[in-house]
Amino acid sequence: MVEENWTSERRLRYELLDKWQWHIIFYLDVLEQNQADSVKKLVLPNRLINPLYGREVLNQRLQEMATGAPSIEQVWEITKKLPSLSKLLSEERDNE
Amino acid sequence: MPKYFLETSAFLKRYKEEAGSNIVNNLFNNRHELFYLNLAIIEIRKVFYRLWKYPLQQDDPITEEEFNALSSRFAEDILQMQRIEFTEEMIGQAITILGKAWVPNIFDLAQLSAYLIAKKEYPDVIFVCSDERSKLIEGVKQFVREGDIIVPGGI
Repeated sequence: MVEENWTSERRLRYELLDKWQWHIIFYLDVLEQNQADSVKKLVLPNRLINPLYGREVLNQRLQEMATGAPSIEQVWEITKKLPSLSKLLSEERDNE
Repeated sequence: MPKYFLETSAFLKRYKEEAGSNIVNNLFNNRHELFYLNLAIIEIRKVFYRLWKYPLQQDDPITEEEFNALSSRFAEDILQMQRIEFTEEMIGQAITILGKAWVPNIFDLAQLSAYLIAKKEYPDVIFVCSDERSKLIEGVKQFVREGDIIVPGGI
């Protein structure tokens, strides 16, 4: 705190130091925060690390899709006009 | 019970009557344990989608109803089969494969890797593959006996 009997030079020095002190405190705070952030490890949620996540939803979708499935002979009627599906797959794989 | 691992190219033979499709259908009709890799769901559905929604110039597109019928048959089929999940062990196996054989396509590599891991658990499992152009069949021959591979439709 500035005393009334201080010389103007002393008063100026004090004010300058006082001003810098806040800069230093602020800087140390930021430094501490950055260090804390770099130490803290990100914990990934289950859906990003568990290969079975979503299995029930997929199975339910498959169950619904499978309802009223046609016979394989009916499928062959549909694909009669189409080229070999294995060849289409090969093309797709070649394009990847 | 005989065990078979259906790679996607062979699996697709089930949905089109052509050379090799009878062999694949017999696997479904008789009492066999059929395995597939979960990634095959994406590959097969992708082919169906291409035929319906994203046909190329040379493709004769199928209707939505036909697409639904194919998808439905496929869903019914895989619900009867054993689904193998692609695991991190299989990533390691894929890297090991690359040290010994060049398998350029990532799906081929995943299939081979999954098969080889499955074979560690079930040594009698047979690899069924119909990919005529890929290095997959060449690749699998580097790791198992020829008698452990079936190629419906030939190469």
